[in-house]
Amino acid sequence: MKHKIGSTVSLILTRFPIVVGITLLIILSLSIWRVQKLEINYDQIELMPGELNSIKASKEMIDLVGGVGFFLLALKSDDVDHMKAVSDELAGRLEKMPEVRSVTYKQKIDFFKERVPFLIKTEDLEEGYSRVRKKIRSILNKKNPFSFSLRKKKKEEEVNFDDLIEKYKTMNKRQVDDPYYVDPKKEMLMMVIKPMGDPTDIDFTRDFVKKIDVLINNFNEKNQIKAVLKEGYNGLVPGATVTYGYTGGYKRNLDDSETIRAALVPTSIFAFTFIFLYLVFFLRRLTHIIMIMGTLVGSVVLIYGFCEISIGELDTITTILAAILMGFGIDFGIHFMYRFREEFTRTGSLNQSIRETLIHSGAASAASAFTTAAALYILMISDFKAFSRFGFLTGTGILITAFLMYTVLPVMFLLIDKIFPNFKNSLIIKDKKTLIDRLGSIEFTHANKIVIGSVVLFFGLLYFATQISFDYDARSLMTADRPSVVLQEEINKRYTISSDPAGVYTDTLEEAKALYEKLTPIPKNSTMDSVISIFTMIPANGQFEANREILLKIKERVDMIPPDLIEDEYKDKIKMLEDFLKIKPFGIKDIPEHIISQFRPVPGSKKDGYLTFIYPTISIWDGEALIRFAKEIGTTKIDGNEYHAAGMAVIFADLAEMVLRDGRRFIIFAAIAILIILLVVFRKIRVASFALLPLIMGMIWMVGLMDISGWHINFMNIVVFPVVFGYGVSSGIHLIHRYIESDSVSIAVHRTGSAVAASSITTLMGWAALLVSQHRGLESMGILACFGIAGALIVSLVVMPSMIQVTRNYREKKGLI
Amino acid sequence: MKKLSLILTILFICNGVPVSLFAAGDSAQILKTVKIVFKAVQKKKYDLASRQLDYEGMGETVMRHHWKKMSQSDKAEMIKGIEVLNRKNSFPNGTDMFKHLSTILYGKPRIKKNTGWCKTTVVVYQNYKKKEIVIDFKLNKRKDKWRVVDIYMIGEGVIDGIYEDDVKVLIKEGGIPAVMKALRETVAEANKK
Repeated sequence: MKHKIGSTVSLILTRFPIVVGITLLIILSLSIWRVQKLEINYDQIELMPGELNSIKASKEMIDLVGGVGFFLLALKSDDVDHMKAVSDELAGRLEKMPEVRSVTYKQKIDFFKERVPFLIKTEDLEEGYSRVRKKIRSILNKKNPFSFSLRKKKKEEEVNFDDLIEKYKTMNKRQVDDPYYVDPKKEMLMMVIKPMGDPTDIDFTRDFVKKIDVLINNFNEKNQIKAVLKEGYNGLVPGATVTYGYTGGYKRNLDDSETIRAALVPTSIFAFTFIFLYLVFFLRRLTHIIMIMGTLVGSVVLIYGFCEISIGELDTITTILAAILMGFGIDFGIHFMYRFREEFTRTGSLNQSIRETLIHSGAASAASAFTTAAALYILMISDFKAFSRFGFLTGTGILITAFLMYTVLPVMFLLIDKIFPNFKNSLIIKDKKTLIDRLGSIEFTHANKIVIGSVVLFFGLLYFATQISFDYDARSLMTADRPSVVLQEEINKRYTISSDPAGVYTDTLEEAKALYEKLTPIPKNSTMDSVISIFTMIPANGQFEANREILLKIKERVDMIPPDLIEDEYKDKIKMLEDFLKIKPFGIKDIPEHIISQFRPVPGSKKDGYLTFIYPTISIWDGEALIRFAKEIGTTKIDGNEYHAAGMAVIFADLAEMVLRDGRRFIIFAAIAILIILLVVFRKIRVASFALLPLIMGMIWMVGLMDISGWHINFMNIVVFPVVFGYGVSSGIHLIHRYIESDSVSIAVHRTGSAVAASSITTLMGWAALLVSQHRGLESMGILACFGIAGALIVSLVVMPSMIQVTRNYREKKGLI
Repeated sequence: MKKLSLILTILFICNGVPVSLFAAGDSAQILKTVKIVFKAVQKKKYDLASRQLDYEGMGETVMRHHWKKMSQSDKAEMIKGIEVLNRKNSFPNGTDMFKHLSTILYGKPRIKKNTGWCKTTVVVYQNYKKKEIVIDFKLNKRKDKWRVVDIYMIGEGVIDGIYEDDVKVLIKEGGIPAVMKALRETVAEANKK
């Protein structure tokens, strides 16, 4: 069949090169036109399946409160009053920006301050009472002549209330002793900005940050309080009266995408340059290289045009399509050129060379392209659109690139031949052997030893491969010391918050109460740190009366103490105690509007219910813990109703689970798909198994070496697995094809092995460029790809041929061949 | 009918009279005990003062529910130790305070079963300043005798406070043996005086 197809295609190309050429040019022109309309959509929520509860809830939350997540402007200064004055000025200006929905940086705290003892846990108040008595005894023991003690008191046993005060200085994640959002040390002030746009809309956030930069510059030029603001993330900036920094969900998303973008540009240039230089060194013909690279660029443009027609946009993962396709596509060009030159050197005829190349190398490349595409198309089963689109576009791109390499390159030679007839002589291979040719000359006289050694190495690395772990920590994917991340961690530490909260909406107050009672008290070992609801603002049932009783007991004791025995620091507190006892029981209806509004949808929202916020104990960077958090609070069932949590934490948890689940499914289905295709192509299990060797052994070597060198699989490099699958199977297919054709291991390795080595090394160089990236996620992708491709290459050129030789020797001995 | 009501009245009065007689007797005893404590301490008659104190009751108060778990020898040692500490520390300190004693006002004793209270106001003149110290004595009736088991000031008992501030901590550190060890050390130090 391959003869028939190859002959037919070569006939069309050789007879109608101009028609074919013009057709391809028209297609290319149309692609260029469509590519210009292509946009990049950074909205990650759009990539998630819409039917996920976390997505539905988050989209609803966007309507209720104007979005999930915040933009944080953190101010730092050693003068807290000046910092507060700056925040007052800045808030006024920020609120005038049309992109800003609200700015929160202080709150009225009177309601809490007046009622603090009734909002704290009764057992804590009991503890306070017990300490008051202890304090009285310690004073008395100094004055009472009849007192005695059984032991000497240690200094740290001196009675103080600092820990209790500290515990309740922050209530409902806010300071109650200062209306401004300052940290307990009064060194930082947080301004929480709610922008109008989506946190996943990177373009919006980029513009937003620029506008805030302009606003701050203008403020620096003209303000009444002699403030000088400078951006800084490592302590206070010299010369600044206030140091500021940006963080929060909006900024972190922007930094993430910009870091990847910034990392890709130099690495792409690096990869392209190295590949080009390598090809110059080994192919030696600049014109051939330009033809291959030109065809490659054309196929990338074609696939981007196809993307615009089929999907309409790129996303954060498909933006790296060009790099992946160039890596794959160059292989087809190299395989074509190597075989084409070989055939022309032998026959001297362009038409015959094209025919033979298409029949043999073309068939192998087609099998390789279909197998790799099939493996990538498996990704389309994923619910995560980024994966499914990536699989669809990359799979289709590989097929398109393979097709173009084996059509455009022959057509180019045919057309050039019409104008420059001597050009085809550049295809003639001189006697001088290249390094790759020399490598291909290795005879497999030590095949047995190589096989034994490989098997030992295989099992050795298999052990390490089974030890590899998944790195759930998202920080390991980021640039080291990214400012927004550093600042976020500083805020988390200062304000003792671990992450953005998840939000749950309920239609009625009764449902909000039922939800609050269901979630609290928080069980031990829970991933929940606190539940903040409208019901946190009032005492629990019976708590007001119980706490008031204790306050009365404290008052009674304090009244007994002669005034001269009361230390000055406690006199104000006694006055406060008297004020507390004047407070009447209070409920929801007594809560001021500015507090209630935090738990209600924004004006203009379609809903009129209540919001409950759940703060996690876990870090937003810990993917495994996020999954546990999402499992715990993702859906709460009460009386037959389900309440779904919204927020970046639950979205990332769903994303993490999806990636892991799809990653496992992909490996299994891809392996089955590849095996089926290989069986169809080669018709024999033994042959198909040999073709799979570089893939299987290469993968084990890759994972084993990663574990030895301390690398882990993570959310980013997991997408490299299908790429490595593709290379592994491609090498095997090309070599097996040549072996079947020539019936000689040495010839297969000598001839096709050179092309396999060249294509693998160029690809290796492309991925190795990622190793210099600042972005750790990209670096990990580079490491995984390099180990995998290098492993597959060594297996292809050394182990597989040795195994074939050993099998062949055995079959010859048994008289089977 | 008249006879019946007369009999009932007599019975009623008879029931009341012994109680009130007893009550009157207990009150007087309580007052007497407290007065003896004050006078004895003032005049350094510590043996006499010591006989007015219920050391066993003090031991029970200091150790609370742990008292039942203690061995007889430990109990005996605790009782003796408290006596020593009172004689060596409390009484001499009390004597010092009473140097400037002006007067003592005694409140009416309050009795509930075998526990009695007597609030006193000690008026002291020192450096031309009048000081009033309110001391509430708590007494136990044991074998028909009222003895002092604790002294309260500003609602806090001396002996009761020892459980909260010392015994609780020592029990946590090392149980009853830790309490006994601390007692021995404190007594040894007091004996050095």
